[in-house]
Amino acid sequence: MRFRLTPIALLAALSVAPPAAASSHREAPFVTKHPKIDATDFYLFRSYEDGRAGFVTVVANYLPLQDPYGGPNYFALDPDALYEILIDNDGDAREDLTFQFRFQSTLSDIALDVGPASATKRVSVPVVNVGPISPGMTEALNVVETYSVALVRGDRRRGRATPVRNAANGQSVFTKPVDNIGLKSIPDYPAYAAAHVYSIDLGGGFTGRMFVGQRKDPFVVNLGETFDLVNYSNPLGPPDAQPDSLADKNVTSLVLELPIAFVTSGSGPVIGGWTAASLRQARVSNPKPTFAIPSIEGGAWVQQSRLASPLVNELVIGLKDKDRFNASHPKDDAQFADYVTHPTLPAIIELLFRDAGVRAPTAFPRTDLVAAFLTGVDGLNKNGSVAEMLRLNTSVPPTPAALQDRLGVIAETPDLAGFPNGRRPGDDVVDVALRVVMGKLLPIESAASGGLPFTDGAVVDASFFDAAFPYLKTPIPGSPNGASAAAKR
Amino acid sequence: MKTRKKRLGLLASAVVALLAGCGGNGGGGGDAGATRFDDFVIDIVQNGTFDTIDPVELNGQSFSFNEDPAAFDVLFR
Repeated sequence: MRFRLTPIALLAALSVAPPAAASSHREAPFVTKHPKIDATDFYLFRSYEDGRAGFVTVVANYLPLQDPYGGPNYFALDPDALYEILIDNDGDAREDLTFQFRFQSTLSDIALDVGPASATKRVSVPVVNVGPISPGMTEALNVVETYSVALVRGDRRRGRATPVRNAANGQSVFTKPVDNIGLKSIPDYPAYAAAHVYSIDLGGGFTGRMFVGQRKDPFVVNLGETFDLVNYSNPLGPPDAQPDSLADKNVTSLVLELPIAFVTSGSGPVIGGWTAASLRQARVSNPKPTFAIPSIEGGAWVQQSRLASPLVNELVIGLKDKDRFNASHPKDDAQFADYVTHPTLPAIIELLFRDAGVRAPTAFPRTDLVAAFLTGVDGLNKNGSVAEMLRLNTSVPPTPAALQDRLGVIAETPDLAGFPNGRRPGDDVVDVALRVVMGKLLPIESAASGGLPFTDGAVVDASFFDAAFPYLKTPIPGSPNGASAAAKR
Repeated sequence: MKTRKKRLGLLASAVVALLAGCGGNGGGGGDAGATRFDDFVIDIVQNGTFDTIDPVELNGQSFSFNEDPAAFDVLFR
């Protein structure tokens, strides 16, 4: 006799919940050696800020698990790295538009006169700021981080590159705000950061917006207990019963807002996006390092981080292939197909909770997951390719923040502007992913547990974020001490 | 016949071992035919730093390592 396990029956039997994870924080062995190029989350959505419905917003987050108090150097991006946001707009799993970000840290070398008047010595200070900073007053900054952006059309390595320019003054060098050191150093961080939102000239008469800087990490998850053999309870309880392990963490965001007419090719409304980061193939440590030259790096770019849909490299790709996935390109994703058609995550969940009646789907190959991760959903965001990327049908109108459903497309009343039709900050991708891998989209005959409302218990929705560019919240200040603790609560 | 093959195999092994023993440069040791790592890296940095090229394939390559602390000084001049 077949039966569908009820949530109550499951609750009575379970003491632990199915696994979840941090979207892509430290997800592969090799990238943990290079946190500055570790992509943590990628978002792609129709802008839902009032008056911006003609735009898409792309967010690529890097450098995970930033403790706000992480001075004195805080979390500058890597000046020797190449950070990329890539868009395929004709469904061939190859990038058509690539935004390439390069960073530079410039030392002001602020020095103080120290010693008695008769024997004063001018000595360099050891910290990144020596006084308060505000939008019009940054002289106290000892290190200034700037960046430039190239827009490459076609192949990212061999295509035609043009500089992205500030629409206000034509300059091609932009400034990244220093991290949120604390309230004494930066009394009004929101205003200071807002001064680094740029209107950008994309060429061809198109303009967009850009912000690069520290933000509160938007991902929400009960991380520690998850990786401790899923050491938490009440897997089918309220979606907000567990703490968010990242509540007191910041991250560094590259955010673009681009006109829909600019990102689409004219052949269709569906675009695919992902982010990647690369280092030069060779790094030689300088035995006599200076601020400017701690090492010499050279050779071709070697991609070491790749991210589109959340949780893919974290929970779908096998450990032995995670570094290879990070170095790979969507057009070559056939090599990873088995991980999607025959996923291990549902099998692991069944192993953990078999006694409670949880069953993994029995339909193979998992065409439902192929649609969700590799092809796009028929009639919604399919774009003709078989490749892992975040697909967005730009013809689906954005849902205002107040009306968004955190479960997106699988919500009881589907919110088609949400994951996996792109991804918004407030989409609860952990709960969506758990339910989908356990068979939410399959008939009950092949997914006995597919109707269960699996949750990691750490909820996120659109109310966690601003309803205007760059959407992600102001980073948690490193000082005073109560600020971080308050965020944790 | 089998004995002859076995002897040839032993001889080949000895030659390989001898070459490997001679292959070191400054204490790093290495396999016969191995690429000197310092030369390899210096060549990549000096002659292969372009945005438009593909990385050098590493799988299947063997390297010998030079423990000379000045091996890469040429890059910092």
